[in-house]
Amino acid sequence: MAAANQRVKSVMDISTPANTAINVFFWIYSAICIIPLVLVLVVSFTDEKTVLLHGYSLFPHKLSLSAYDFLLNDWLNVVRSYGISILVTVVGTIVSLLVMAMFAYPISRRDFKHRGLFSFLMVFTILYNAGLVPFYMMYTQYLHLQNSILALMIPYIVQAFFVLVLRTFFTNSVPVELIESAKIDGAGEWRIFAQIVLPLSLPVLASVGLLCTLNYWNDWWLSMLFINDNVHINIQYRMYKALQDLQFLSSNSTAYAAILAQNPNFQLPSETVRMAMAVVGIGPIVFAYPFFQRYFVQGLTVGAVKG
Amino acid sequence: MFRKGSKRVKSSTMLLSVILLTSMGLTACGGNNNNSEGSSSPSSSAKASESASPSPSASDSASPSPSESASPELKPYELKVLWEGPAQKDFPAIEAEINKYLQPKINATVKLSTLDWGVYTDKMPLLIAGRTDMDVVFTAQWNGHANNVAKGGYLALNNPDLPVGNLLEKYGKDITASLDPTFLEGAKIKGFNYGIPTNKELAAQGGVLYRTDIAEELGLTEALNNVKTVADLEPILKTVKEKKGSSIIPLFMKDGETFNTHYMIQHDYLGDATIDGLVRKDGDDPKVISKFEDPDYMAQLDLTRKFFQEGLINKDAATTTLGTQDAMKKGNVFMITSSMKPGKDAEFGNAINMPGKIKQIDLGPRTVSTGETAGAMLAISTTSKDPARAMMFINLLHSDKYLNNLLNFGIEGKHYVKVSDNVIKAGPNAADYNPGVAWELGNQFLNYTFETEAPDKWDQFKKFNEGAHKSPALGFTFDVEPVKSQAAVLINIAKQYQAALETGSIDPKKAQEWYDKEKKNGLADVIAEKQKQLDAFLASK
Repeated sequence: MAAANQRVKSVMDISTPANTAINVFFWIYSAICIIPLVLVLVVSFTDEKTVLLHGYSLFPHKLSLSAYDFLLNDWLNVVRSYGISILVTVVGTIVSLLVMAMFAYPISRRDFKHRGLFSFLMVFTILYNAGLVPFYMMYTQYLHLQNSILALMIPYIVQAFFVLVLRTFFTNSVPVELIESAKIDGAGEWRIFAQIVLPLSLPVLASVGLLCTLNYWNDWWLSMLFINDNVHINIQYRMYKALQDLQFLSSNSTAYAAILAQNPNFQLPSETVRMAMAVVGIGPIVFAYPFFQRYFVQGLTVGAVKG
Repeated sequence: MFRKGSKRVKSSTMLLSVILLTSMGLTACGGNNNNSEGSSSPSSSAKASESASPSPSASDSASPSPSESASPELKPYELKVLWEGPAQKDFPAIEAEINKYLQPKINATVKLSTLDWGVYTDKMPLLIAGRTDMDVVFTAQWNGHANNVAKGGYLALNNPDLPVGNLLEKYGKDITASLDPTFLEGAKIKGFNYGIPTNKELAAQGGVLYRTDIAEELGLTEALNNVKTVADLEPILKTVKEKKGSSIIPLFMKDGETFNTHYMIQHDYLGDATIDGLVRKDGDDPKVISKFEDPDYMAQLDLTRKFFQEGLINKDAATTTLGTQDAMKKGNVFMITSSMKPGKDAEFGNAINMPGKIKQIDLGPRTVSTGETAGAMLAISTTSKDPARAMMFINLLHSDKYLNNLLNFGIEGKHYVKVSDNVIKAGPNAADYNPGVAWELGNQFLNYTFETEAPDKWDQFKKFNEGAHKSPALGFTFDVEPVKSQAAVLINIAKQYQAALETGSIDPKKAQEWYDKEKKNGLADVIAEKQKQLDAFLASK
């Protein structure tokens, strides 16, 4: 420690008071960001009655697992839903990145004749769409994708906005000269795309990939639309359903009492379950952030050195 | 740089593929367990599309079936039954048991499925628009019945002009015999029944629920037993306030839980209660008036305001989002408002984990309006390929005690155990089958009662239903379409005042301001339209 303090100050160093102040500021700021999350976690483990009487607290009087009991009593289904969510997210993201990049790349090339037309087609879908019922009928009546995992992936595979982002990046950040020189060296279009354009575009692919991942992970709507059985639904929709049941039952004593009479062990820890659901829902996705973050940082520095 | 990049790509693909494999493994094990269910779904979806491709064909395709079913030989048919509530783990077992019983009777098998609470309202219109294959479907006024009927989702059950004929008359004899005609009369839309109402409580009544342990402790039981009107509650609540101080809220109110809800004020809004223009439910006058023209409403506001100023009502009543059930659960509330029916107190006590500690006081007369008659119904989907069979099934739910209880409570010895002939308690596997939707399916008077309930529950219900006053607008539901824009404005204005005024949080003088605003924003149009439609309805009766 002492040795470090006596080190000669370099240009990059900042004065000790300033350093302390910045550190303190960010400590507090981080705490403000993290404490609510911790609170969610703690409340999810709190006894329901304690929450009703004393409100949310970081140091509850009584702990209980009843919220998780309620959510996980059907643990096999929960595990399966997790599997579906992960599968849909991973496969969906990879496929959608690939498809979108392959769409965006040609329309980013100035020597592609019909780029105007294809860009227009893409933008058109942002501005106009047919509405919910035709969309629903398309998937259920013509593609027959109800109760299929594909129905949870296909609708989000190509999203016009992301295609535009990718196109912009390809146009601005991949030098035409590179592509031309590769061509002179004898590379075909596929090789150029796979070995030059894609590696150069890792930063944008990572950002779009992260957004796609979140899109897929957080989606419950497609499950609601297309999945009628209780089997092929993803974790978010399972949680959403549990929440809907909860809200209905806690405001409708007739329905609740009828279920309670049939099953006296039925519990309804409504306040804590909400929090437990958030915890279960956040689950694996928090691990995706560090994975993508590497590319964010890398992308930033690559850009910076090039100036 | 490129090499570095590709290395990263490699390691990341490794990681991704590991995740992928594990997740595939997870779903695969899951899938295997449910192979039977999984394999049945594609075939049903294929059937759905066949029936659906030309959409108006539903009624055509139904036409050959009555001739088939009219003959004594019934072809095997799978009835798809759908209700609102959580899905049940033991559906396959129940289906098997029902099929065993049903096949000799009407040669039908059932396939049970549900739409979860709240999801129903979003999803039903899609199922209808997508012409999904369904037969017997739960529907109710509060989850979009009129809309779904307008979209052509359900068959008219008593229309002799349909190719299938008058289903109710042909196959629903037990229904018409056991169901109070008021139900069918009230649940009509444009002269036809699009759903068979559940045979259950018919009348509506408002009232309050209170904690008996607190009442006994303070010696208020006697006084509470003598309460006849809302005004009688005042001295009681005052005593609670004096003796318990701030530890107990004497009366908990919130938006939608006041002396003006649950028909304590006897207002029939002819549909959406947020749009002004009503008839008195307890009267016989079909004249539509504004609520401000009803002296009872103004008196009620004054009284509530008085309660509030005396500190008898929770201070945050106008804004709180806590439900009355959760509020009572907290243990610091003495009294709440509620809709009433026989045994409501026991039911509520169980729901909030205070069995036997809640008692009810009924306030005001018992009345019937459209909402009560159409509060739970079974409809037949227009996509049904054999509506006659569906009607036979509904008929059995209304008349066959064994089938009704099997569907509602599961298998004896497994999901419930008998205590005596008609009294049951939860069985060892109750957690696997407890739909709790007996009020959605058929005839509640056939239901077993639980140990925790009064054994003569259904007799009490019968008495409750008898002699209830019919609203002059019974059977009528207001179609808001012609005055949609005015109604939207009125609803917005109501949001500004209603919760605050009706919980007593602001001076009742503000009611005049509200009234003036309504008058400026098309109240007259709405009332005139309501009157016009109601008159036309009454004339057509």
